[in-house]
Amino acid sequence: MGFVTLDKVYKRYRTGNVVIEAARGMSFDIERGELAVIVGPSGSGKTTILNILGGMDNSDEGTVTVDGKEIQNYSRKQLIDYRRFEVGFIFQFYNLLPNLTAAENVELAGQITKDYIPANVILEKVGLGDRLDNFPAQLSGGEQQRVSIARALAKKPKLLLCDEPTGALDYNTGKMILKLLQDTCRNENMTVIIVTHNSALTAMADKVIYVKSGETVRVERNPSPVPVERIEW
Amino acid sequence: MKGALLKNTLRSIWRTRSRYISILLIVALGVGFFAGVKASCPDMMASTDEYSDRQELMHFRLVSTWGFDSGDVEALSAVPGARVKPSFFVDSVVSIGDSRSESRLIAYYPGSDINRLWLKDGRFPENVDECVLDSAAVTAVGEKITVSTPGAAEQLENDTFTVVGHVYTSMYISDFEHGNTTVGDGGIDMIMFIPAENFPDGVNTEVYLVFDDMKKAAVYTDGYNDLQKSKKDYLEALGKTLAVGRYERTVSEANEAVREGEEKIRDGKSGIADAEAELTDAEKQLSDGKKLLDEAAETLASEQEKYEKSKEEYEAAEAEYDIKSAQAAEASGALIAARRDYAQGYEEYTAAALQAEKELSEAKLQIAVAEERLSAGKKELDNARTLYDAAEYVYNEARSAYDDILGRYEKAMSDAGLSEAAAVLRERLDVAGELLESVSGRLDSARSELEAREAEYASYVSGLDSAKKEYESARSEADRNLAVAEYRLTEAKKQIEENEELLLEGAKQLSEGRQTLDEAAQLLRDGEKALSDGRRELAGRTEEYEKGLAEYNDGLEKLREAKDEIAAAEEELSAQKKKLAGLSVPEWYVFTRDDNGGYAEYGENAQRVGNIAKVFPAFFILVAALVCMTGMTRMVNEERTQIGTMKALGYSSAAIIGKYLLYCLSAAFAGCVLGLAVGFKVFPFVISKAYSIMYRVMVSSFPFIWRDAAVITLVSLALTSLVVVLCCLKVMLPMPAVLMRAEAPKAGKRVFLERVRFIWSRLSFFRKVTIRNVFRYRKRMIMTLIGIMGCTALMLCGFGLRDSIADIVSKQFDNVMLYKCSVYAEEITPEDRDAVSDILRSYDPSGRNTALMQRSFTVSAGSRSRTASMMVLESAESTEGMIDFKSRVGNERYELKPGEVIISEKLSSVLGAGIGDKIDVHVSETSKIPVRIGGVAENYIQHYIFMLPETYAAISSEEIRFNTLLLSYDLPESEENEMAEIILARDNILGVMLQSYVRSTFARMMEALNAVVLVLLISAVLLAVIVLYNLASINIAERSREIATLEVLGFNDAEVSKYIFRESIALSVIGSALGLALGKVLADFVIRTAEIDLVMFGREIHLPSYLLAMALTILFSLAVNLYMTRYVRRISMVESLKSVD
Repeated sequence: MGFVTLDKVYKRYRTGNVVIEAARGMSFDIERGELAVIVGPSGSGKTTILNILGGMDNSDEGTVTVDGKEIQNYSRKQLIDYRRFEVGFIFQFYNLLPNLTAAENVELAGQITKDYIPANVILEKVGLGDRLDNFPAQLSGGEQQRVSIARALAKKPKLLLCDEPTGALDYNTGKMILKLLQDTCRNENMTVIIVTHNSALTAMADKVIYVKSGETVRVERNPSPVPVERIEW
Repeated sequence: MKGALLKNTLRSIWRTRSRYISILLIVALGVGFFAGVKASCPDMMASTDEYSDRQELMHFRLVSTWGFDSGDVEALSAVPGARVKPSFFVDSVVSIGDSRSESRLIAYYPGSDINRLWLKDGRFPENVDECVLDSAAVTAVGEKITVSTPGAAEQLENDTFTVVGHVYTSMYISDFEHGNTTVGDGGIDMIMFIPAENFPDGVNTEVYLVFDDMKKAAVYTDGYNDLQKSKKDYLEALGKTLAVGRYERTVSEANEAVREGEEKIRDGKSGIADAEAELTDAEKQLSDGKKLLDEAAETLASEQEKYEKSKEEYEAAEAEYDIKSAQAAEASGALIAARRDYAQGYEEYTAAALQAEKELSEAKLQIAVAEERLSAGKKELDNARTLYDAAEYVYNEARSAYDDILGRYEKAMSDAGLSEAAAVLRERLDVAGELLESVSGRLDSARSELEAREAEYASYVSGLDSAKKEYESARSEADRNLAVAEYRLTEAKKQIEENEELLLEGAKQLSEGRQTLDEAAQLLRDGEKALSDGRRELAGRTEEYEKGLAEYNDGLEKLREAKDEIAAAEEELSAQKKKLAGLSVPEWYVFTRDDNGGYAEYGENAQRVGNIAKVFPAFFILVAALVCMTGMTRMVNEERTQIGTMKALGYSSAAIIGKYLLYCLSAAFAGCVLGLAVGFKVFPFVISKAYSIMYRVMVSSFPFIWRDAAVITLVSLALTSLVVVLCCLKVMLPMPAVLMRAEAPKAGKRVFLERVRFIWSRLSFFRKVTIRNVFRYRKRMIMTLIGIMGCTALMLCGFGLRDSIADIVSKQFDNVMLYKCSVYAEEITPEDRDAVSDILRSYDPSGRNTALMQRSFTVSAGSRSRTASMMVLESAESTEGMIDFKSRVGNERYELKPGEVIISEKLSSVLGAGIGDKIDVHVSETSKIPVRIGGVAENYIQHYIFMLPETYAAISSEEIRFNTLLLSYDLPESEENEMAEIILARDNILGVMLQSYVRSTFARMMEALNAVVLVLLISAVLLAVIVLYNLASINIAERSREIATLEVLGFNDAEVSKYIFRESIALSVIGSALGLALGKVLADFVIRTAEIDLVMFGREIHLPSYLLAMALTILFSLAVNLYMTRYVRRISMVESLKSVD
């Protein structure tokens, strides 16, 4: 039993009369402190899985266990608490609040939890110690994603979920972000799950989950993950 | 527009229906408000115009110092285009029961085609002593009204009129303003229409004119006023010409009359001498007559005596007759009783006789039976005897035979030889002995038989005897009974006979009595006749005498009169001569409709409503434009990509803008239609309803004003188009490629407040965020602020209006007019005053009173004039604690000084005259005297001028007569009423008016104005809801991504809502605070413009109104936000965060 376990998870979307099965019995385990990469083409159901894991969506069938708790039957309120205290989410488009400075965006997360890392400390850690008072519009894409990561980490989540974190970034910046995520995983013993269509990223993972058409094609353990610097795509 | 584009537009409308509807509604609200309020003024005027024309209200009313004779009327009829109606009026004090009031009596012509009356209740007068009253009069149908001003009563055929109905008359549309008069207290309270026959023929007192061309013009318009001016000038000129002619005619006629008069006086003087001679004759005749009269009186006295005597006799006879009559009646009664007894006795007798007979016949029957038995016994006895005799014979025979044999035997025996023979004889003797024995037996049985028969017979004989005895006894019994009955019967019969006799006797006596009575009566009649003859004679002679005396006195009187007459005639002649010398040319007064009480004011009031229309709507239209602007901006932004795509596909900018134009214009057009349809009806209705408190305009005309509707619609559509084009331009100019890309989110910015570290550092995180967000969306902020401000301002305006209406009553009666009760009389005499103050003291020992004189006057300053109630006080201090003279602002107290007046605040403002200015008091129609204003006192109801007696004496030649007492006291309601009744019961007191009553009446009247308040409040709420909903929905739509982010971060619903709506709430608070300031200004304006002429509204808005307006606004804001949280919950995180817009 892993830290994160999916067991035959189904997710169906209904649009009119058409039922689309976004997840068709997906199963995998991720251990605590692992960096897992879920990879697959678009429409393979990888984001669906991430949304379910992030408490943003419910599964229709199967069990989802996070840190020993089954979350698939959580109520709306329980899910809010789950999002609030258990997970950090990182988006492709950062989703920073444009009217808040970098520090304020991080503080925003801190406002709703009791135990949090102060904005300046965490921003210092992601290398933005000198950009605290800048608005998102004044930051580059990579910087914005770093603020986003800082915001996710500030809550001290058990699980960091990243949805195509480098999708909107250039090659080098992307690498920097991935490095930051890998370092966080290694240094903080944080469980990190990255969803991507870029299979090049599999090299940096402890565990790679291949998905296709809503099914887990294969789960591979990578005995020797490569540092991000050495990955090329 | 192409099919696809049209379809696209329709889909857009359906998809964003709430936005579409909010645009529609805000346009409807703005347009409705504008159209409605704007139409109110013309509607009010048109209603009056229609009403006046329908009732054929005169355009001019002419009054002349000399009245109008037929020549004047003829000349007026010749005025081109004029319809002329000569009429009559007279002003008088009238009394209705115990109360009195000033009334104008106007001639009523049935079916008149000028100044038609509109029946409110009852019916029109049919008899000469009936009248109808104007609708405001409180006198009920059936009550009687008596004209009590001598001058007026003399003129009229009747001086008492029965009220048969109430009418609306377009001449007097105001309930409170009936103009002024010179009788009574100077103000006309009531208009009476009495049949024209009541007025004397000849010179008319007034003439009405109607001009057809003026009817065509709408009243209160310039066109009408110009026509009125030129016609008035013409009539005045005509009046001058006619007056001069009439003057000359009159003077020459008068001169002629003077000459005639002088002649008459001469004749009269010669007549007096003749008359004196005649009188001397008459005196002699009179003394003869007196003698005759005395004789007749004497005769009469003797006759009288005789008559008395015979009357006495008659009465005695009558008494006797009565006694006899009673006796006869008694006898008759006795007779009837006796007859009844006899009948009863007879009946008894008959019964007894019958019974006896029955018993006797029975006894006879028994006797017969016994006799029969006896005869049968006898027969049997005879038989038995015969048998016995037969048996005895046989026995005797046998005995002798035996004896014979025996003898022979004994012989034989003795002859012993004969023994044989003796044996034979022995045998023969035995046989004979045997025979004898049997015969003896038979004899014995016959004997016993005989004995038995004899015994039986004896018993029969005794039975017969006893039967006979019984019969005898029965007979004697019956005889006795019958004898008793017979006796009784005889007795009864005797009684009857006695009574009959008595009755006969009585009847005889009675007829005798009757005769005596008739004789006496005859005597009496004779006496009476003699007496009446005597009397008649005496009366005839007395009459003759008195006639003679009267004639004589008459003659004397006539002589005196003739002398007086001549003296008077001489005097009058000289007066006439003097007057003739001083006669002035008659003067005409040409009055227009504006001179009718309330007519011009109504126009001014309508104008005032028109003024409101100039402010409010601008505001609503501004808000409407802003709502359109934000809505369309949002829409264009949402469809940015789509626009880019369409442009890329080759659609022209015009076609694309066309879609948004169609969207927005259709909403605006629908809004206009809705707004106009509702606004044109609702607002004028509510406003005219409010004015109907004071004005009786019986026609309500709320036409749909097409011209205004068209203009408003066009302007709204033009404005909307402008808004749409401006919104679209931003996205029309860039290249399609740019449009297809997402618009960069608005960059964050620091706000000014952040520089103020001192404050900023103290704010919580979310507060800071809120503040920054508020300034981030500037357009929306301004929009929200304006919406909220408008809402608060409107509410405050509404509440303020309500406050000021409520204040009228409370301030007037709690701050200004402090007295509790006023007592009216024709004149308050010192006795009245003492009596009233005694009554007052008996209820409240500390009660006080003051006297004043109250009269109604027209006052003017420049061209403005008003009717005001003039109060002449006893002294400057006398009203202390009863009427407070102080300025509303600053509470400065005024003291009344000689030569100055204090006027009420509203009067000051309508006349445009303040402290130190002079106003003219119109003492009569032709003379006005200026007085200086020494103070402008706070006052809310009615116009007042207060002055000291000295001042009054200076402006009027009339003596001061105090006619009102003001009382102040502290009493519970029941005692107050009781006291009022006691005071009113005094003869001289005409009325007692309790301020508490006035207060409640007025408060009720003012409540009607609350309709206006309600309209304002509803508009305010609609405005607030539409604006807030619109903004909140845009806010949520634009920030859905932000909201989703917050949700992902784990914000719960409440926190998200707080984050989003904190801004709205903050803006609501700021907006409503600003709204209060705006509302104050608005309310002041509205109150000032909406004010009714006679009334000054309160000028203060109370604190609770401020609080309520603000609280309600914030409450609505909260409510709308609360409602919108549903939409916040509906936002899907996954959807919102998936793509970038």
